[in-house]
Amino acid sequence: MEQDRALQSLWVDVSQIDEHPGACCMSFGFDLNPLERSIARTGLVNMPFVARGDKGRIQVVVGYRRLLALKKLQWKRVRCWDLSHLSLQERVLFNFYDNHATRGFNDVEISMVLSRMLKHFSKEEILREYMPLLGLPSHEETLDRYLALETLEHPIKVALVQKALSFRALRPLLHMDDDTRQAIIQWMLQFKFNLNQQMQVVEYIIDICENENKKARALLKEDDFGIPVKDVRMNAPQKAKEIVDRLRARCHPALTKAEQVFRNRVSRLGLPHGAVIKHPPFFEDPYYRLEIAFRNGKGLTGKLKALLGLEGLESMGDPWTEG
Amino acid sequence: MGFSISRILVEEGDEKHPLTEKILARVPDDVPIQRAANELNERDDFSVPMDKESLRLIEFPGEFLKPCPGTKGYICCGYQILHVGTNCPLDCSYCILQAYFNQPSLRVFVNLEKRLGAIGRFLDSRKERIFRIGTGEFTDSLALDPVVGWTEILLPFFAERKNAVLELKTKTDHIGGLLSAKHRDRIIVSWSLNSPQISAWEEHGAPGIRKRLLAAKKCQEEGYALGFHFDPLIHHPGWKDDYARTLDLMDQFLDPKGIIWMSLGGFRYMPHLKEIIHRRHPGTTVLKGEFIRGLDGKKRYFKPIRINMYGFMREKLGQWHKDLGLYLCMESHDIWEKSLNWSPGDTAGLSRFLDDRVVRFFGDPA
Repeated sequence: MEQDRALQSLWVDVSQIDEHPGACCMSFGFDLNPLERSIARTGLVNMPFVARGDKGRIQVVVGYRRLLALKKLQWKRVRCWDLSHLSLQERVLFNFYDNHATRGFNDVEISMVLSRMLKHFSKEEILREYMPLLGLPSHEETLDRYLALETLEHPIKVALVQKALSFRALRPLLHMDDDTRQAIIQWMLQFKFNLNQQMQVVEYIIDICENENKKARALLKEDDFGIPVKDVRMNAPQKAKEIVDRLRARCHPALTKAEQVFRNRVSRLGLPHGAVIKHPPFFEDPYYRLEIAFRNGKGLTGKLKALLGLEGLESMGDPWTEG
Repeated sequence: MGFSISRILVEEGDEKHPLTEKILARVPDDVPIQRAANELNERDDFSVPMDKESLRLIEFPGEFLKPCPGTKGYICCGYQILHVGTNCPLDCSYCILQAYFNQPSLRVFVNLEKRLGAIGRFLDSRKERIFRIGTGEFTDSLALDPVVGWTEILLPFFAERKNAVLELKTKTDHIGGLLSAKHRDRIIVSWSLNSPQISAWEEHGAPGIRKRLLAAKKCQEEGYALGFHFDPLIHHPGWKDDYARTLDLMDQFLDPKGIIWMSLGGFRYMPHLKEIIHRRHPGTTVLKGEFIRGLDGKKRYFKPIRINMYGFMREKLGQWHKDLGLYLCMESHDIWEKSLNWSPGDTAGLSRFLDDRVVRFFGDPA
């Protein structure tokens, strides 16, 4: 870059500015209203940077959001700094460092940064130089995930930025075919799943489809996964939990059955009040757990005696064996 | 061979090792040999292409002999791993190495011979202990033997030692090095087996079960002790009949009295392996099934499924021969009891059980 060159400015016709972010800009999912209000009140504080394109078209280098706000405010012309002397690679870097210094990027913006960078730099250079700057590990797998994110459908990107979906939950879907991914995400957006639930739901759906040789779209059309949406007796978190439970039961039929048998057996025991028997997660650990709530030694002794007198306690075993 | 080597990479400075020279002399003339820079930094990245056609000859700076790390919450066999190389030319869809190693290409450690002296001194200094040592943990023990000649180096080394045995674990029929070796003592040749269907569908590049068992038969006739590992057992439609077919073939070809041990292990995997398997083997069936999160964080079949599979194998194998040294790989005391009807209790107990088998087959170290 020519560090000592004096910057030139030029007047730009606002209506000619492309609403698409173009080859340099890396903004997505922003709220234009505060910026619009600010410019309306105090005017344009910082001039945008632009460059003349091949056929004299104006390319936004930095200030994409400002220019969109000006367009909404129906400004006719705006004075911009001219970066036409920079190469496209230098303009991309100019935008990146300007944004990097002043704000954080959301996941979709990171995917925009990396996909734009990849047109000008090698994968190795991006992994070594720019991934750490973005706060990301220098993993090719991570880079590939973000590059895949850039190719996703617009509504999915919006859902990510609005935090209706988490990128982490989305990861297993990135390399799936478009139809499967869209089917799962469109369906998921009907419910208000928290982050953990999103991850569970994606995993369960993938596993069920794998086990049953089923397409996700067909699976999610089943009544079992549609009825809770319409059930007015449940609030949003209850619906989300109900769906997670249904998917889990479908994904883990033997485990679900074992849990049910276990619950039935424990309830038939007639444990004293304040005593509960729990099974280990997935029954993987061999030990069951007895918890007794008591106020004093006398209370504890009474409950222990009651426990010892329970018929059926001795024959309690794994729920998949005869009880 | 179901695989081929398309180039040899020799890292700078590693051409001086005798093993490098021997390997280069064995490589066919049309395989290019290239110099490669040393790779100092391992990248924590599992997406690098595995490049199973390049054989990289490198010096390994770490410990060659290490105990198997085992896994939290389960009984381990107390094995020692002799680290002779990494990655495998076979391409089994379920292979855990896909998630273990983050560097591409097949890697052979050419300073092995140089380090054997120290390993020998270490083994000799603990004469009271039996070392069960294997090279098949991070690579196939025999797949590259025709090129590398591991048997040439290791067989004489172990024949000299009374307190150690070497287990060569393979899915191949590359037994030329074994058959031409002078030394047979204290060597166990083991085959990893599966059902014929899983072998055909999932063990890409590996010979079928019949070929493996024919190779085992030949080794048995040549006086080698044999081991077998049904690991991973895959729960698939018709699994009982399918595994029974493998057991029938074993009965057809082998004398069970010459089998020192057999292990069983249900398919298990680190959660991030799933994405790798999906990406590398889109048609795989190994991820079908009811998997739960085990005590070590790995995905495993739900307990009654494992108990059922192990119980079935125990019963069938028991009908063939009562004394096969059957054990479970990375399972809990509880599962042992419920499927094999006994348990070694812990890792020390299983180690004793397997050490006793070594003494019975090869004699007392003292």
